[in-house]
Amino acid sequence: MALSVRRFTGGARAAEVRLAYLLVAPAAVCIALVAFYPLLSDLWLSLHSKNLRFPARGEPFVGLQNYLTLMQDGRFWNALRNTSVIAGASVGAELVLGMVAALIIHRAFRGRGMVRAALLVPWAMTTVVTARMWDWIFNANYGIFNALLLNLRLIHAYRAWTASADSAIWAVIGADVWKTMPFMALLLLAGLQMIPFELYEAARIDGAGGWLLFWRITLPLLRPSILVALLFRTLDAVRIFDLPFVLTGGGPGYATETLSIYAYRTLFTNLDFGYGATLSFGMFLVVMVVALFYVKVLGSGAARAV
Amino acid sequence: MTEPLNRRVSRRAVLKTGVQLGLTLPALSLIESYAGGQTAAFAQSAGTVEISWYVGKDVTDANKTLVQTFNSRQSRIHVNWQEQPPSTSDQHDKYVSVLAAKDPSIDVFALDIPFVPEFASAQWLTPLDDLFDRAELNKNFFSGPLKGAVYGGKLWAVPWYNNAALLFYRKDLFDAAGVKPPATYDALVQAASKLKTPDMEAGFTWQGSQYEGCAVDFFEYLWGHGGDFFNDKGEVIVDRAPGLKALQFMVDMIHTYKITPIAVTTWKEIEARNVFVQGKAVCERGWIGDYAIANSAGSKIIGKVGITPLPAAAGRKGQSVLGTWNLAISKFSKHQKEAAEFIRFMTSAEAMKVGYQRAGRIPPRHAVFEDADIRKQYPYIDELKPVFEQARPRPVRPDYGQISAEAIQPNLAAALTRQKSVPAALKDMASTAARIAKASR
Amino acid sequence: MAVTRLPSTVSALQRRAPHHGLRSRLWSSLVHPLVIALLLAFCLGPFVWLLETSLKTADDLYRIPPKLLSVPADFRNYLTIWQGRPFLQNVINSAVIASAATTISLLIGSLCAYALARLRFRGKNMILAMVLAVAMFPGIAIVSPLYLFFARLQLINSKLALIFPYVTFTLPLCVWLLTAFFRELPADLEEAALVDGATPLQAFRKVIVPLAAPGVFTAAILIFIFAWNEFLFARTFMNSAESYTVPPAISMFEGTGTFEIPWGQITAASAVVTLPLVALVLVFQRRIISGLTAGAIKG
Repeated sequence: MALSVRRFTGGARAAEVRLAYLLVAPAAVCIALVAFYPLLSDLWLSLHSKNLRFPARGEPFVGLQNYLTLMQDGRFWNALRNTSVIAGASVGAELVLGMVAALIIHRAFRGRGMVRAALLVPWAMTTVVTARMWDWIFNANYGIFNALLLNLRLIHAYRAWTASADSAIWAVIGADVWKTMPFMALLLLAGLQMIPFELYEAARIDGAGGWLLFWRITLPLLRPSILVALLFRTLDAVRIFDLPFVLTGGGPGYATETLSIYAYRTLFTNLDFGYGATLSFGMFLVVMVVALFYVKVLGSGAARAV
Repeated sequence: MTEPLNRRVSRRAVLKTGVQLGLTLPALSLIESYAGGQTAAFAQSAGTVEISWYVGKDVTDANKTLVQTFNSRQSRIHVNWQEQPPSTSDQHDKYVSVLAAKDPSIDVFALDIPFVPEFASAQWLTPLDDLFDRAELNKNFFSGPLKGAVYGGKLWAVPWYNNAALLFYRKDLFDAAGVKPPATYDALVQAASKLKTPDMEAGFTWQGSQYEGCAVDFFEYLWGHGGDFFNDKGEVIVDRAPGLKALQFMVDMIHTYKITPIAVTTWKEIEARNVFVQGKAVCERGWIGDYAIANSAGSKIIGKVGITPLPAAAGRKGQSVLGTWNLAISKFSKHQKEAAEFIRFMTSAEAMKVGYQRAGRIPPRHAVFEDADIRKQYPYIDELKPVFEQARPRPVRPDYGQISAEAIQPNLAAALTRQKSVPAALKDMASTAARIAKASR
Repeated sequence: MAVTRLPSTVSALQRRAPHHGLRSRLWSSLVHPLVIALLLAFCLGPFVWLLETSLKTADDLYRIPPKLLSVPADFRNYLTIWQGRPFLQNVINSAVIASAATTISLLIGSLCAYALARLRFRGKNMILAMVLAVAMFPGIAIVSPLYLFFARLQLINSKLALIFPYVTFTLPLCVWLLTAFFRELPADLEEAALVDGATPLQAFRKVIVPLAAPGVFTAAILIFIFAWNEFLFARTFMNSAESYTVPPAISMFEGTGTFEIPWGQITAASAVVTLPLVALVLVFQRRIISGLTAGAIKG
């Protein structure tokens, strides 16, 4: 008692602040070196014109010219649109499915450990193999997906799902949902396990049923976890690269080209490092807007976490 | 109370060991990489120069044999052979990272033919005119591969092995019907339609997925109709009559003549070959290596495969795209002379012969084609010679990669899936290519 | 007060699923198992197909139309994936790098999260924002400048070249997740420990971390899997086949021809590297549950 009061005054308070900065320092150093330094170098590069194929042109400073080009770049807006569709649909589906999975597993039953481990299988598989596997599943000639739909009489003939402009993006979304739903489920499950059981008991004694329990107790108390899960999952979804790159290569045409793929192609196929850096930094700004949206509009939970 | 305490202790112990491991492992790896660097330096100071050779994964033992031979014959140079992922574009992207950082860790690398002008223009390669005798190369090598290795008048790489495309056909079906192997596009369509049996998937298989391989096929049809992508002045002429006919033919094969299924838009080399090798197609357009695969275990058509040069429009000779692999020296290598010596060995007639015998690598040297042992082992080599004499490289320009990815491939895909009409697709192809070419000047 | 939120009571009650009335019984015996079955089918379906592909003979693999199952099953793929390539070394590399990245990330992340959740100081929002910003960086934006940076330090081809980026990229999730969890714990827990004579750091280690175990182990699993499966950096920063981790190693699998994808081997290799991960999770989650039952502070 007397100890706790003394803890937060004078020299002990300064010690607390020192301790805090000490604890935060390693993380800050890592981030500064490995993340911020490259990003700043990208920002610097984006203010220049640099194409590695033509070194004779040098690296002239062009100010915001690249960004003006970006604003008028149809391919960028297309990539932005594709990315939004993929991210929105995937995250939405994953949230719902992940929540269902988390609720199911949270309730104790025999074999729960096995089911939780099985849940992780899609997330644990290497993305490159996952993409190739779904490529095989969607195969136009002998894929299981075609066989299944044909047997269920939902289609009349086999289709080339990944090569057709309207269906390719849904093939990517489907594969992504399969792969990442466990991530959401796991985060939500961890959150569920922190909710005290007595709250449910008390409510049940008062006569509340399943649905009410979910709305009034589970959902509100799960809010911080949902926020963290949604936030990180969306940030990941906007930067999606491996899966569409291997599954469709951004095609057909540019139907599934995401921002990352566009940036990658600009850097490595076109060797245009100036504009590539612009696209990369532009992507960062887009993602930052999304994050701000979450934190400001949805995130009183986030404010609480601070 | 004691039970939980034990558990907590053991978990702490786990965490503690984990932390210790987590700290020692990176320390160990740092020591290991430092020590590794020191050993290399030591080897160098002892008089042997270590050079690294970066090349795509080899499923045969050809590369291994060649490197061992080179290393054992002399002790001044030791070649460190580093295998890279087999995908050509993976290799390209990796080299871009390394070279953009001016990293000297690569000395010699194997480059697919479109990379040479690109890397040369980026000043990442050492010009080889001083290290190699151009006159000797001109005399002894096929001209097509050399053309692809020259940019801006200078030689940037030495052709290492060649690849070209052939028309594969079911000899048994053609002989039974008394039909000759097709030399024109019309003959191809007729034969494919007539000889296709009901259980087959296709009359003719080729590469129609949206990737470089489809662009390659397109060039072959373009040249087969007498057209070209750029003219001598560097203007884009792909949307003229020959180009229209070429793309229309590709679209018609799927939608009008129906000798190829729409699934072709998901096919790359493997799929096109597999359909043929499983006995489900009459003809295939494929690289030379497919012949060996069609005649080995797992194939349903062993001994039934015939080869012939690619067909063309009436009165013209079919021209295959050249798929040559070259050896080049990185500008940032610290051992230029040693690298050149290794390349000289790898592109000698002797090494090329080994490559052909062990890996079926077609040599770019005339002499090896005439070699008696080779002719005995590969009796069909006579049929290959005219193919190589006719084979052409794709446009030798540093921006070819971008033109293919942005102008050619998407518009081919759009035309084949009938998202765009053929004239519209070609118009877009030409205008995009012109824009890119203009920015490159 | 603090006692009512204690984990021991939570799990004790959780283990007993309440049975109130018919609707609840219907749920338990019919709907619940059905949904679990669907969930399992969804998650494991493609994986079962993958396993089945790895057991096919080469002949059946490329047959058109494809044969569903090879009888008898062909286990040869599981032998050939280790031959003629340093696959075992690659798996070990992955294990070492992923473990190191997980441990370091958890260490740095939990310290940072503790400061953010339990201590008072200025600049919290800025630090949270900075940490979150890292989660926004596209990998390709960073790959080239980082390559340059590591090349100068001569770290290319060493494990550190991957451990550093992996730690950095997993810090955001780690910090945010653990901050959220640490926040939920009652404020007087450290004080109780301090009264008992512990230093602030001991209080952290012995009291806070165990109670936030679900968060810690969840973060650990996710970090490990991220490091295990990361492809772009692994391919770029490693030069020799012996230094590769599993994802680039699998991309190196070659068939009999230049253009062939050896499906049998790739699926076998995939199964081989995924199953231990799943087993690892099975082991760890026992710890999560035991973390909740391990005696807590009682009143």
